[in-house]
Amino acid sequence: MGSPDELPLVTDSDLDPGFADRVRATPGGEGILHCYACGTCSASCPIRAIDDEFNPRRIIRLALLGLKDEVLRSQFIWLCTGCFICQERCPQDVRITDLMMALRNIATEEGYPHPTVRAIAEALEAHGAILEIGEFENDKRAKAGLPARHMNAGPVKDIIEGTGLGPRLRGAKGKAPAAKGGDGA
Amino acid sequence: MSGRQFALFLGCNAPVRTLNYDMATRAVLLKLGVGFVDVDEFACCGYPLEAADHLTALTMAARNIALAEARGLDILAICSACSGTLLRARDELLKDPEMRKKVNERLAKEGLEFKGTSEVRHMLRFLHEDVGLDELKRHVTRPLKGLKVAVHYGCHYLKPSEVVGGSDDPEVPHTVDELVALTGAESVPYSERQLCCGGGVLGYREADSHKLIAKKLDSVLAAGADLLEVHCAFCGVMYDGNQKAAERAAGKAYNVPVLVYPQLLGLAMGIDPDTLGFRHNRVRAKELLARLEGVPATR
Repeated sequence: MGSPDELPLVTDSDLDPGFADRVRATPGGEGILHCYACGTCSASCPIRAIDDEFNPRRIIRLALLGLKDEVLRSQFIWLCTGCFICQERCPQDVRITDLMMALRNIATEEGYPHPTVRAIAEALEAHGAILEIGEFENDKRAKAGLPARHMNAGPVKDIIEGTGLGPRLRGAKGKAPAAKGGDGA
Repeated sequence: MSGRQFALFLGCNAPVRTLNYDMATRAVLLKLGVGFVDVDEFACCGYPLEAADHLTALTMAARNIALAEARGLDILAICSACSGTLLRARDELLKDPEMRKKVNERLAKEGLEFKGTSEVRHMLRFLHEDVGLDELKRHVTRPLKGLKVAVHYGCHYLKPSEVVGGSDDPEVPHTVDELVALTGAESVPYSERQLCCGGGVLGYREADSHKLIAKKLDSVLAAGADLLEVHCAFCGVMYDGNQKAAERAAGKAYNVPVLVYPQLLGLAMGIDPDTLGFRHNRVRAKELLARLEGVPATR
């Protein structure tokens, strides 16, 4: 955090008063209004302990205030490692891990998917799994005495296209947040 | 163990990146007489797409469960991310008829339907709750005396506790300590026992995942443990496969062998290290194995 002078002033033109309701209507986001900002999530978070950019309590406050663009265009909503420790400890049952996923779902809908999500969907459509199992992998498995795996990606591709996620991700190309802060593949 | 048949759910990582887990699981199940089959139609559990679209991820999970149901089989998953995802999906679909209808409309195109007739078990929950500690003890012929084990519970084996946690308290878990104790090895306490492997952030900020690996391994070494135990394919990828990368990032060497639980159990049951896939452990466990009485050398 910088000094107060460096922080942008929040005005009501930055706010989307309907945003918290949008989050509530998204699977996983139902409990957001119950947050009373105790900070148990941030105190428990393994990512928060090593990376200042990620702060679940702050993200929930931003969302409740209606700072939609700041939440959806940010890198920080993608830093949750999905460990569920905040969800387990939250005294208000906000289901914070699920809530972080809901925010990512909304960001994806709005055209700001993380590039990694797009790469995952492409891999799943091509292989049915995040890693390809081809001849090379099956040779290795045979040498280890393991049965071959023959993946048929078709049904997975049908699901990803059928829900509209595939077209949504392709349509968002180029609008994703720029990678920064040492993002890995 | 007879009667119950399982569909072995390997997920994406085990069949490619943690062959030791795949091999040791099969060896132990065979020796215990547990029936299992491979289902080629299984695909990704859906977890990696939870970040993009809930319905897509849920439908992928439901499809895998429906494939097992169509065969009259329960699912035995060896990756905690997979078992957690399938269990959470099953729970949601049983509680939410609207969502189940939506998902089943999509599955109908493949002639499948989620009914909720098949159970989903994590391999270690199955060993602890269904096979049972007493039965497992009867199979131990070569106790792993003197071996100090740092147990890594991992996140999705325990949490969300109401859906996946079984008899474990998510803050003070005990089941894997008991499974380790019956092998004759000792589970040692260490400060970062609850720490996440960082697998969830690997694809989004690799540097953070390396920091989490280093934090865990620092703590494992400080406790004087000989090895880190894991029972999740992705935790295995992180601590074993990515240990070198974490060492480079931290600027120091760890060299902590990472064993999947069926490797420990298999050794104690008298299965040889090659059958248990020790050749596929990235951090070599040769010195460790040499210390154990009656264990043949790996090829």
